[in-house]
Amino acid sequence: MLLNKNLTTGIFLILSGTLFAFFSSTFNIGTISSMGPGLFPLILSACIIVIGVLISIKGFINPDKVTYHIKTPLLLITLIIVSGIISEYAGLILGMSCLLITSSMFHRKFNIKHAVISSVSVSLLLVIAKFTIFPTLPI
Amino acid sequence: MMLHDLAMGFDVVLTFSNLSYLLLSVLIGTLVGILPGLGPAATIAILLPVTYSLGPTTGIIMLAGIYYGSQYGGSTTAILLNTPGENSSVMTCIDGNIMAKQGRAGVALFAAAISSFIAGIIMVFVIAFLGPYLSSIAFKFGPAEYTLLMLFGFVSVTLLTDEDILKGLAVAFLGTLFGLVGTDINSGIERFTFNSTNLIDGIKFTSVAVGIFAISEILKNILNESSVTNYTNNIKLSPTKNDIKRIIPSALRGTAVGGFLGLLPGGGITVSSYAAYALDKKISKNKDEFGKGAIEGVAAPEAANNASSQAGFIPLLSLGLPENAVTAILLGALIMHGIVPGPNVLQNHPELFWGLCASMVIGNLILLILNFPLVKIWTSILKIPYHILYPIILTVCCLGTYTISNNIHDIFIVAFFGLIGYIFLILELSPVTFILGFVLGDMFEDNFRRSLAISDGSFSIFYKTDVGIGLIIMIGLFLVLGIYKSIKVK
Repeated sequence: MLLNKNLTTGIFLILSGTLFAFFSSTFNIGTISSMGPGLFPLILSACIIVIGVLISIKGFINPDKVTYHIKTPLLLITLIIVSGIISEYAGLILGMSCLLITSSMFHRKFNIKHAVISSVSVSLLLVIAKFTIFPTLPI
Repeated sequence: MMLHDLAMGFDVVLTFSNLSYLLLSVLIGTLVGILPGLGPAATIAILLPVTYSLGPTTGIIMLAGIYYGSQYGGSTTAILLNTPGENSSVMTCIDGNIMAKQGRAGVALFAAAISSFIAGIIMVFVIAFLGPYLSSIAFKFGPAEYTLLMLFGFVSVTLLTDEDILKGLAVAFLGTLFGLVGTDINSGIERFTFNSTNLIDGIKFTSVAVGIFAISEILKNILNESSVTNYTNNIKLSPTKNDIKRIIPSALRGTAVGGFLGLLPGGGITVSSYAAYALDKKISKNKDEFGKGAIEGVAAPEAANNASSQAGFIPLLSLGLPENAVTAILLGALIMHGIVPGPNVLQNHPELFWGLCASMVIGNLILLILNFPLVKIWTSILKIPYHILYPIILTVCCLGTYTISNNIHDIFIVAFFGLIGYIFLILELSPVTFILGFVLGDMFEDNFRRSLAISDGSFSIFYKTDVGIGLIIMIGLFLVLGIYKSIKVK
């Protein structure tokens, strides 16, 4: 899948800038000589939006294509989040083993034996760590 | 006077515990340099909590050791496997791997090690000399000058990291905005926290660093599977006299280039190694050999990347200005240890500065001696295929981040910034500029606010002093260069 690099960058910047600008405006702006908590973020957001517009224009004039993937990155990110949740409620050994085994499935050379060996080694390391340097580890 | 201070530094380092931590850190650094997909920035970020209990001096000695150690490691894989472990080792791959294929792997490794060592030792003396000098003039820096200095940092990093200057500035500002999340120092109001107790103190930069560097790097490698090439078995270290005669001038030139570029924000290890290679190719009598196994092609970039990694400490310790991702993280580490970075560091914590200098001498020595017997071990680790390695790296990263405060929230932050890191990857935006903005966020705002409060709203405060004018000229110059560069590319 192809994307217009500059246009997407521009839109990304405009969106993030607008988001931050919106939330900055909820704070006290103050004056230049006595800046409130909202003024500086507002200035920065404004700069980002302006640059975003300029880059989008550059994207129209000079389209530069880049490829991207959606499935794998989103899956990996979700995996990290899920493993985190598992670690919180069922202990680190289960959570991190889950992360290790499932993340290794992304590679075409996935081998369940290797993954299990790795996860057992990491779990062993965790146990050793718990009894030596990190007594507070929630295994 | 300086020798007396250096002697004090050695006093600090030559304790059993500091030496063992130094040894451990350079070994970890070399390992990190060897492993693709794990860089010094993410590693330092992960190991930060371990250093909390060690105290600032030992902590910084350790983290610095990882940094320049990784430069040694990167060159080993570049030479033997044509795989640069670090970005800065890319140039070493060119002639280094060819030398390995010619059966001269040992000579190449020797050249890399000796050049890095020469650079390291010279730079220690440069730091010892320039550091205090810069500290003394740093007192001329008021809030207005610091604001301009940070702005200069953003512009310079962007220019030297080969990015569109506008995009670089936007990313730096975005990083700054994320850095502002948390409690505003001035008013005590919580900003952008959405009433989450986890964000009151701001986003943990460890999570940001791991997400933006480590996770995105792993994603890049998974989605873009390239194969690792050959391995040379016989590694005999037997340089000839002629080899040494060619290595030394290259190493010295590389040190000069790296040392100079390393002082500029953004003039990091990668730029320095490219520049040193290019310079040596132009100047050298053996220029036809470049690209076919010239020993200078290994010596120059290796000296440059070591020199520039150590040069980055000068602005960090004397002005409190970080230059790249690693020094930005180290700045964060110093703040966490309660040390306010800036010219006062030298006055209030001389043992930190001189201890660091002395540790660099010893660290480089350890790396030089140890890496010869250890090369076989490092290369056998590399034989571990990537599909086994990256899940371990990923898990260790997440584990490390989680154990900092046993807070699951930190993993969510890692995931979020992993996504941001991936977006940056596709859009070819630089994460370095982002993290620079992130670390400098609060200080940038604080200095800007104070300048305008002092001048009662007038912007003339920025061009009143000569330092201010000088910085404005530099910023203007770099902006013009940047715009010229982006127009030229079109």
